[in-house]
Amino acid sequence: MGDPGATAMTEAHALPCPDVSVDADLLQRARTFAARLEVGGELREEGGRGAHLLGGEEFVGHRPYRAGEDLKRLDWSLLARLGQPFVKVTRREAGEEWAVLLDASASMGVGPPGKLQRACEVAGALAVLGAGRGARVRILASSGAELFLTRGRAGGELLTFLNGLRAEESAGMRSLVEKAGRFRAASRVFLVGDLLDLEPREALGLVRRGRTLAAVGLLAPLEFEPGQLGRVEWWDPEEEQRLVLNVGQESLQEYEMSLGAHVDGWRDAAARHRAAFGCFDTRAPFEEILRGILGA
Amino acid sequence: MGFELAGLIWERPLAWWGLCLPALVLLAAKQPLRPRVMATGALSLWRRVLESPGGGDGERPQVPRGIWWLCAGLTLGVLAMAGPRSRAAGVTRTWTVVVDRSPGTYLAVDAPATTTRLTHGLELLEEEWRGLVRDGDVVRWFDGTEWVESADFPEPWRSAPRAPRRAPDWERWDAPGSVWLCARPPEREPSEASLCASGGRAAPGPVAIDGEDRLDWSGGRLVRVIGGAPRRCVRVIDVGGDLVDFIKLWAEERGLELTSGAPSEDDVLLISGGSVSGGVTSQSGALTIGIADESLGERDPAEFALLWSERLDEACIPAAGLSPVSGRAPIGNEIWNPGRAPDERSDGGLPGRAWEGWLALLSCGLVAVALVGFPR
Repeated sequence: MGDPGATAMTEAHALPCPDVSVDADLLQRARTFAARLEVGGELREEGGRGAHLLGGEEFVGHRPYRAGEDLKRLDWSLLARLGQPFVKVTRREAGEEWAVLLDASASMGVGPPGKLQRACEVAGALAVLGAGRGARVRILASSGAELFLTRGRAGGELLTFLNGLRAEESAGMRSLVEKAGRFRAASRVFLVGDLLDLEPREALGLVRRGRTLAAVGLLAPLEFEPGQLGRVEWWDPEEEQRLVLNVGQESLQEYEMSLGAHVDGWRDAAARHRAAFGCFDTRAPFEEILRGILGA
Repeated sequence: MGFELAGLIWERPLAWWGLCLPALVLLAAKQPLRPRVMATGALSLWRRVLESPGGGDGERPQVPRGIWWLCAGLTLGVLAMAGPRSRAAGVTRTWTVVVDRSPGTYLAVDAPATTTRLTHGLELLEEEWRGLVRDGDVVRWFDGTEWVESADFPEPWRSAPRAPRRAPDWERWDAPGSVWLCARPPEREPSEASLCASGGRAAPGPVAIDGEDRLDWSGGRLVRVIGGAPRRCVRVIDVGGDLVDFIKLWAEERGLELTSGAPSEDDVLLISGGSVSGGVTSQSGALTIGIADESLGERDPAEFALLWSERLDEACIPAAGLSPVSGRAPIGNEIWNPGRAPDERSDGGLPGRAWEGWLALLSCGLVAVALVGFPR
């Protein structure tokens, strides 16, 4: 064999999809999705991974009964023991915090459709969903940008934040995971990125008692199903590294095996930690991605 | 004009631009082989592919061999068009013979013999110098105004020019390979050039015209020959206006005869008028005048007369056969004083073998192999 591949440092090319463009239509779609999810959640109240992630019906404590409240929620056993009416308080009612960790590194500019674009749509929809459920939502981008929604409604502020993001620099999801103190209070953590720079054990270390975790892996079509491309110079925009090789049938099979091993590793590790994980093509709309990850 | 490169003389170096053609063919052939640049976040996975046994899927694509043959053929074709020629061994030398054509050179070398000093000098030159000239040497003759490149002396120069010439500025031509051909040697002898002086005895004869008389030099003194002035003509053609009247007065004053018609040996001045372009063009023995200059007009008559008098005197040449006393005085014996031979230039030599035919043949063969032996 001659010299089929080489790694070199050369001048940078322009990323195909570095920018984000979201508008009010995203909010509308996200609200519609959230409404449908609520209906689905009611229907699946008794269980399932989706209910585990979003149900928020976990018992976290009691509070005195207020006149006019639904008697179904009265804790009858406590009433019998104490002689005073108390209602069970769920996590949703207690007010929880969600953290959406968003990878905005340069490799998220790969596409089309761009990975950062789809990741922002997913993050935006999660923010709408969380805000609708009364949660405080913190979106942390790997670029250092942060948005904290506390007023129960995601709108223009969210759109402005997302549209200001750009796929650049080398800091990715790992840098966010390493700063777990910034979302210490979060009971639900969502990782949205390509997850290629992160080992499952690093992310799943965030799981602890009272916190659920969901990891959304997004890959561009060129990464998900490259096809037989012939001679290609692969360029990593984060490390500015290059690799030249001929993408034929054999190397394509090798690639698919490597990618499959990567995804399987994530899936197995997530299952062990009772975390949700899904790997998606950026051609999939955010609703499909969220349904996949939330199991709705 | 040839150009030397790589030990060959290239007769058509502009054809080298044709080398762009094979270069373009090669570039065009390489273009599809360049890998597409694609951004990815999965470079680590591709690196694993590369490290795997089947990674890379084969060798790097190469330019087809037929294209190399084609480019080689085109390159040789272009070189053939540039006309390469080897150079035969040899050198070039250039002789410059500077000839004095002043009136004294055309006088008899030994009166009453008819051989002129110039002819005698040429005989001496042939005898002494010709043997120094090798085959392939270049010989150039110069009389102070005109260059002639020829192995032999220019025949027209055997006759004296109608307008007297001065001797050349000898010192300018004191260099290796120069030969001074004259009757009387210059005051300063050459240090590098060769000197060939004919010498000669006294040559009595006319030296000047004074009105209708002629002044002759007898070999020792001047003799006035009453009424001996030769006929001297001023030929006026197409000149009118006030000027022609002035020319009559001027010619009468100097003993000249106004004529028209065919030129003759007696002419000392030819005045042509009617030049549409205007202006006055003067040279020895000839004057061309514009229409506007022929009339006095508003000009001061005295100034007009003075101006034209100067112009006509300046253009008028002496009568044929006159030579100053200095030219007629005895010179002495002939002199041959050899100087330095011309410098040898090693870039000379006779043209050698031409290679363009062989290159063209080889070019055709390579292109044929490319087209037939490596079909796409």
